[in-house]
Amino acid sequence: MIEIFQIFLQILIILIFCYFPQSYLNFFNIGQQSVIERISLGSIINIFTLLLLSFINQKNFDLIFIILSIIFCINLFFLIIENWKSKLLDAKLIFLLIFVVVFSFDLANNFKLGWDAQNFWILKTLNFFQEGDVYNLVNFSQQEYPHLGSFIWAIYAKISFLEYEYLGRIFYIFFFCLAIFSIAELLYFNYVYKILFSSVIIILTYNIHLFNGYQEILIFSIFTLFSKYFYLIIKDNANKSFISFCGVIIFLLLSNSIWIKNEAIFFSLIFLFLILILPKKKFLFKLGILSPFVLVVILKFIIFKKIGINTSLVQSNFDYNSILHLGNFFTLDRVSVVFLYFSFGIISNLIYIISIFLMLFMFFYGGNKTNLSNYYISLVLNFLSILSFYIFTPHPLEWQLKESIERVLFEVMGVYIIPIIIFINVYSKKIFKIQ
Amino acid sequence: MKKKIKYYFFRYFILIVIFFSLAKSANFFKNFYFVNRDDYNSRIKKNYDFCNHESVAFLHFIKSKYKLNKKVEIYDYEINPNPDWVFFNLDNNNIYKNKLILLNYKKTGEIKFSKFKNGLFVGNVNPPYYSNVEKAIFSTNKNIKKINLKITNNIKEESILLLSKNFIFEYPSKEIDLNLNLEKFDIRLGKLFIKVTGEENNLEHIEGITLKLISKYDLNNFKILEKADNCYFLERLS
Repeated sequence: MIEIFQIFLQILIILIFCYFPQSYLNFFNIGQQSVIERISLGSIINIFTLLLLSFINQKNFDLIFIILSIIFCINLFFLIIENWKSKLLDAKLIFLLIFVVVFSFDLANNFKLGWDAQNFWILKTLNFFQEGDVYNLVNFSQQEYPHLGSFIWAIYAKISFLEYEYLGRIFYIFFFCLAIFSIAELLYFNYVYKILFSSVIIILTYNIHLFNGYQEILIFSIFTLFSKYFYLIIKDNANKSFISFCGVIIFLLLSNSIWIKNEAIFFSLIFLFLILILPKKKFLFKLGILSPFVLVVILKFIIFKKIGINTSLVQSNFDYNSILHLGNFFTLDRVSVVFLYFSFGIISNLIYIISIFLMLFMFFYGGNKTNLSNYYISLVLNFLSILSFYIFTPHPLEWQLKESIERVLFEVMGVYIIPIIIFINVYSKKIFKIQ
Repeated sequence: MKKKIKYYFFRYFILIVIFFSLAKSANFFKNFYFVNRDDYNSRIKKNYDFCNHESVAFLHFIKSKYKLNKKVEIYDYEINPNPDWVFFNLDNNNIYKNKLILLNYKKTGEIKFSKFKNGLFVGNVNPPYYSNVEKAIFSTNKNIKKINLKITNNIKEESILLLSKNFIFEYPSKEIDLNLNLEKFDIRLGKLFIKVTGEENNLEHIEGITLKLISKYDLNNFKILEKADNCYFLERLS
């Protein structure tokens, strides 16, 4: 019974940590936002705060908990003040919490860690859990794997009173559900349809193995949120201060992603490219996102170098000898095997099938109603980069494809929920007669 | 009024359907029941095999029974995720020096080599924790009189020679006694190859080679503190 209470308490604690007060938004001249919107903003800032805190050294480890306690108290204060008189009883928030509770119990009963999670991720997590710091990671295998996901896992496990490792992974569940509920806010319908849409997407995507300690779920959630803010900046009717605010959030999201998984750098660069080619946006706005991101990437390499961690992106996959003989990898056999597994990977991630089908529909029959050019470009670039990861790997190709292609495709899948939303917004009135 | 009731009924009906379909698809009631009934340690046994694969449940059992709070050396005789995390300790020197754990232990093991091309054979696994190659057995329908055997371990671009030797048999045979000591080689990583050369034509008929291995750890040298199937918690006899 204590553990059940702990699970509920853990979800509540995560919710409070991820709350973003409306008062802060008023300060930035951003209008009233929904509770889901504020919590999704809070979760992004929470992850970024944890990224900054992860560099505090072992001697000052208590400082992390002092800062977190202050943030917790401030958020709790605003949560109570701003939502006094039951404003928090928002149906979407209640359903979000129901989803998180249901999946948390699934995790509590099926918490087995995956292969790589046992080999690498949990060790990094335990390092932080036992109050080791980022400088200690030099002693670990796969030291070039970034640490933020493990740090989040460790901190949330540490702040629970039972201190079971899986309690830290409840944050992953929370963030995953939140990202989908947040993107559903883009629908032009009432809360019932938003909940219905979120539920369908979550049920289509959910699998307990997503939370077995692998980090792809965080990347998926980050890029899902990215796609939402990207959509908001390309919308014509957004005001200037809101667009700038979205720019800051996009920067935070992409910066967080590169500290969770190395391949996120490639995907982030593709998404930045999409921002750079936006026709109606000012150069200063584009530069404002690009330059701090590049700075963060450079900073990451400098910090890794300073700590003594290997700075290669995927040390065991792309060594210099392989780079010198790239031509040898580009054979018909390899390319056909990669395409075969790639197709299996697409089929097993159902959202791709739905999204690609709808994108093709809108391409041929959409006319001027929809402009999805950014999504076509990102789909092609993301797929090309994923294919090239595999074609040029010096490792046993089939083994690597079998083990990981589904997961790598899953990482950027969230971006393609947007075309589904656009389709529903444009065509649902005709098809479903929804008003 | 009737329209309004219908509207609200429809709205809440959708939400209730969502809730129950979600609860059903994620086995909520079953999970809730098990989390309530079984404590964390019991659920570890359910989630991880006791003595199979990474044997995390066995390690947890030992950890709590013997109240181990330092690291213990773990040797898994099969290729599984590394279960070192069960005994994770920030201080690398904080280790029980006289204790060790063997998982999926086998006194003897083997590596099967399949034909890669004529005269060259590639190993299927690189089993760790074997100290000696006892013999090589050839899958062929013809006996061998004279052969040169070269065993290498290829790690990335580097090829490490483990053995290169000529064998001449008094009586034609399909087996060679090797007695190759592996202690000085780390064969956990890389790919093992055997190259056979000789003047006899019957070497072409060799379809595969099996190396018979002997474990690095002899149980006679230890006191068995705990045993479950092929998993052992041992103490070194001084």
